Amino acid sequence: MNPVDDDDTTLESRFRSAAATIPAHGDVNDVLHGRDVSVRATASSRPNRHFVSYAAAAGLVVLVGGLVAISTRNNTPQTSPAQSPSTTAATEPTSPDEQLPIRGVKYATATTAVGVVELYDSPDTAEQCFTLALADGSDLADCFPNESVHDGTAYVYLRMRPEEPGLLIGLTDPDSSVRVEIGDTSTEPDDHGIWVAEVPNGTDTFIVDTDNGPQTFRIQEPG
Amino acid sequence: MTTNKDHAEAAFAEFFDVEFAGQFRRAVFLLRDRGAAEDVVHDAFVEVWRRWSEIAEPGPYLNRCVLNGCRDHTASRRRRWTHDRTTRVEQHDAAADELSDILARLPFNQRCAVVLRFYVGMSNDEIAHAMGCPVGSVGPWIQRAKQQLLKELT
Repeated sequence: MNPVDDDDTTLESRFRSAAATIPAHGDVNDVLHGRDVSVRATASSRPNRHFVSYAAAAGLVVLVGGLVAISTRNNTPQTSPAQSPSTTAATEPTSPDEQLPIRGVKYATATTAVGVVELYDSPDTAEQCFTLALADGSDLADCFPNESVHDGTAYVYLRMRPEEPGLLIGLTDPDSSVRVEIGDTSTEPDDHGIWVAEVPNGTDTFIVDTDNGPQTFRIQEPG
Repeated sequence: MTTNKDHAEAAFAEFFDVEFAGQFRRAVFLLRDRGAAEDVVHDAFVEVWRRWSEIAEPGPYLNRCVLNGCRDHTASRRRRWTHDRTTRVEQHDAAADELSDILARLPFNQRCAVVLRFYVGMSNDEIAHAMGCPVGSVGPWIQRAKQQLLKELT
C-alpha cells in the first residue's frame, strides 16, 4: 500500500469516527406535511386583540392551533408535488387581488438582536438574504426563498423550535405601510422592509396591520 | 385505496430514510452548526419533494441542494462572522471537535471537496457534478485540504 492510500484511509477513518458522534434524527413528515410550519395569511376581520392575548396566555391558542393542524392534516387538499408541500393553510387564504405585503418571515431561536438587519441579494440564487447581529456576539444569517409569494398568497415560512422563545425576522414590501404586533409589543419595517420582533415563549400568533386592515398569522407548533 | 400521491409519499419517505443522516452529517461538517445544518437539509428535502415528479435522479439533485444551501449559508455568515465558539458543533468527542475545527479553517470549496471524498466517498467526477464545478478543480482542492488535514490532525 502506498503512502497516499494510507493517508486516504486515515482520513476516511477520521471522518467516519467523527460522523458517528453526530446524532442525526430526521422525520419525513416535517417535509411532507409541513410540520415545521408555515402559514399563509388570512383576510380575516380585525381580531379582538385582548381576547388573543388572554387566549395565548391561557394556552387556548396552542390548543386551537393543534386542532387546526390536525384538521388541516386530515383535510389536506390533494396538491401536486410541484406545489409547496411544506405550507399549511391555517385559515382561508386571501384572494389573488389581496396580495399581502409580506414576502417572508423567518423564525430563529435567538432571543435578543442588536444592531440592524443587513439585507442583500444572494450571489448564487435569486433569494434575498440577511444577517443580524445577536447579543451573544454571534450572527444570524438566513435567506427568504423566491416562493414567498405564490398564487397570489403570501406564504410565510416559520421554523419554530418548540418551547423556545425567539425572533421573527420579516421581509415586507418596503413601499407598504405595515406594523407588526406580537405579544404586547409592535414593530415597523425599516427602509428596506425588514422587521424584527421578539417572540415570547408560547406565543403563537402575530398580527400584521396593513393598509387593508390587520392580518392574523398563526405560528403552528410542530406535530 | 392508494393514490398516486400515496405512492409518491411512500417513495419519498424511503428516499428520505436512506439519505437524511448522511446529508445532515455532511452539512454539519460543512457548517459546524447543527441548527444551520438542520435548516439547510430540511430546505433541500422540501425542494426535492417539490420537484419529486419532475426529477429523474433525486439523489444528485439533493446533493446539489444541500451543498448550495451550505454555500449560501457560509457566504452570508462570512459577511459579519466573528469566530464564535457558541455556534460550533455540539460534539463531545475530542477527535470530532478537532476535525471540525480544521475543516472550518479551510476555504469552502476545499472543505466541501474533502468532505465529499473522505466522508461520502465520491469520485472526482461525482464531486464536480455535486459542486457544479469543473472536474479539474477538484483534485487540487482535495490535495490542498488533505495536506492541511494531515498536518494538523494529531
